Amino acid sequence: MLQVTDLRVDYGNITALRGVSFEVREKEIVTIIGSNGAGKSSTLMAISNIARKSGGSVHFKGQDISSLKPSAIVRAGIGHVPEGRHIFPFLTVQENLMVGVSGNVRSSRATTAANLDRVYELFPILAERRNQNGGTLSGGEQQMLAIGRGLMVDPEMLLFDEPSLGLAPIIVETIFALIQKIRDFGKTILLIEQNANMALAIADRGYVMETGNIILSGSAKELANNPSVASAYLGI
Amino acid sequence: MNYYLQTLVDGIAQGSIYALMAIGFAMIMGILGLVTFTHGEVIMIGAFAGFYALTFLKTGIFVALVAGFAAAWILGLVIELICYRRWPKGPDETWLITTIGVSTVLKSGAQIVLGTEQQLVPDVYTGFWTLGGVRILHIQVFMLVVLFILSAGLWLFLKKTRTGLELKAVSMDKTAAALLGVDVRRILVIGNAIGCALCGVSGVLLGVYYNSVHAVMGGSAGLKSFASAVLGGLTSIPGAAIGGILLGIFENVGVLFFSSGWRDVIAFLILIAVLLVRPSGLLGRKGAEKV
Ligand SMILES: Nc1ncnc2c1ncn2[C@@H]1O[C@H](COP(=O)(O)OP(=O)(O)OP(=O)(O)O)[C@@H](O)[C@H]1O
Ligand SMILES: [Mg+2]
Repeated sequence: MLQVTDLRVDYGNITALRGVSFEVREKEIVTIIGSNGAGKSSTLMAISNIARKSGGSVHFKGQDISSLKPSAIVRAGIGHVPEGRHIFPFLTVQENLMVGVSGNVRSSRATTAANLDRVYELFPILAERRNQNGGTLSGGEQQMLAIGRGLMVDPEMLLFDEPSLGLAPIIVETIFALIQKIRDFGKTILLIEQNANMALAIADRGYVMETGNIILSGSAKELANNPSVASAYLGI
Repeated sequence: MNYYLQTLVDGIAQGSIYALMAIGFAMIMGILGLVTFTHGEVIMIGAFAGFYALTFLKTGIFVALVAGFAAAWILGLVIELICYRRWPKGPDETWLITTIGVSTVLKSGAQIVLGTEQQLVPDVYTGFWTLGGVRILHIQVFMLVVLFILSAGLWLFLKKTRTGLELKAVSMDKTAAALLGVDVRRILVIGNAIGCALCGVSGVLLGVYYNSVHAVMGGSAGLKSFASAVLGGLTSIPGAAIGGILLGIFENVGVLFFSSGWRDVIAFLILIAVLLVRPSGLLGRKGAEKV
């Protein structure tokens, strides 16, 4: 479904990606794990065409989307929940969610209302806070809001950049259960995580990234049992 | 006593023009995330559009306001094309420099094409009411009504429409907006055009109120809108409206105590005082951009 080929990204004279290739098939959960600064976020930002690619290509459902503008990529069916939440601080929770409708190609009054209900059902705390400014939410609530916004877009594929970052363990469980649920709705998922344990537990396949390269790939099981992955990322 | 009330009335009237230009300025700064320098010239072009409508086409004031609005809107589109679109990935300073360049070209071009002399703008609404010894001109009330209608329209637009929501989202976080499917480029174009159009209308009112338009009127007008916006919190729209009215009042009170030569200096003093005492302005929110 998503084919990334020889992707390169440079920031000035810093090279962040040195030719990254991988693929995600329909209805899979694929995870990319790697330590800080490995280039995981840069990969997602390049797919969404926020970060400028200095080489390589991205194909989605057979179509070359490398040079589409970010909003067109979203409307083509790739949602992206970015690292660091990026909540609109002076919009209310509900307004934050409603911005996501811009990227929803199937939006109508009815689908919007249904999507909103679904998000509030998944995150009851957001329903409680719907008229509160996004900037006043706690970190965990902001993360839920960021995910909720991604669901309002209702894309075929979702990119998650460290959705568990800064969340309490119990909420992390919820988030990972939710990601599986989203896949069961028929979505395809690319999941970036530092929490390799959890990520490999729900993923079908995974890639390991280091200093701008993919150094290892395999089924989630293979990776979890790989001794070097275990020592470097699983804390075993 | 009447003397002071009269000053207040005149100040509010004048402030309504400043408020309108400051709202436009705040809108543009909020959406671009930086200060630009084409502002005064947009006001000047709006003023001339209104002037030509009134004198050569002999239209009424409403058509003149629409002419100012439309001319400034179109100029806004051109400015976006020249100043911003061609340099999207550059550092912020790029836009400062391109807008200074375009502003210089507009000012010089206006002097060549429209002439260097002050042009006389015919009177509209010459009547007045006298209320307890205070004179209220019809044109003053008219200006307040224009300010009220345009602010209410803008408020409704931002509050009720999808484009309005996208404008606010883009002004707070362009990356997040883009990742949710907002066409950031389109929003920049629309936001900039709306901001310019409001300035164009303020230019028409400026010309009509003072009975004159001039190719170099943009310098002082740009300063006034900047000072008003800073007073209100730079990118806060209600703040800009309040800032504009206050600046109008301060100016008129100042002239009462000093002399009319001090009028423009007062805007400068206020600008400096606000930056020293409360840099976030009256309604400014710290550390974030907004519309
Ligand atoms: N805007 C930028 N300007 C300059 N360098 C950048 C920029 N963004 C990322 N980098 C650099 O690119 C490299 C990869 O960064 P990236 O954010 O992709 O890493 P990451 O794998 O997501 O790390 P983390 O797990 O900490 O989020 C890092 O060395 C980083 O310093
Ligand atoms: Mg990252």
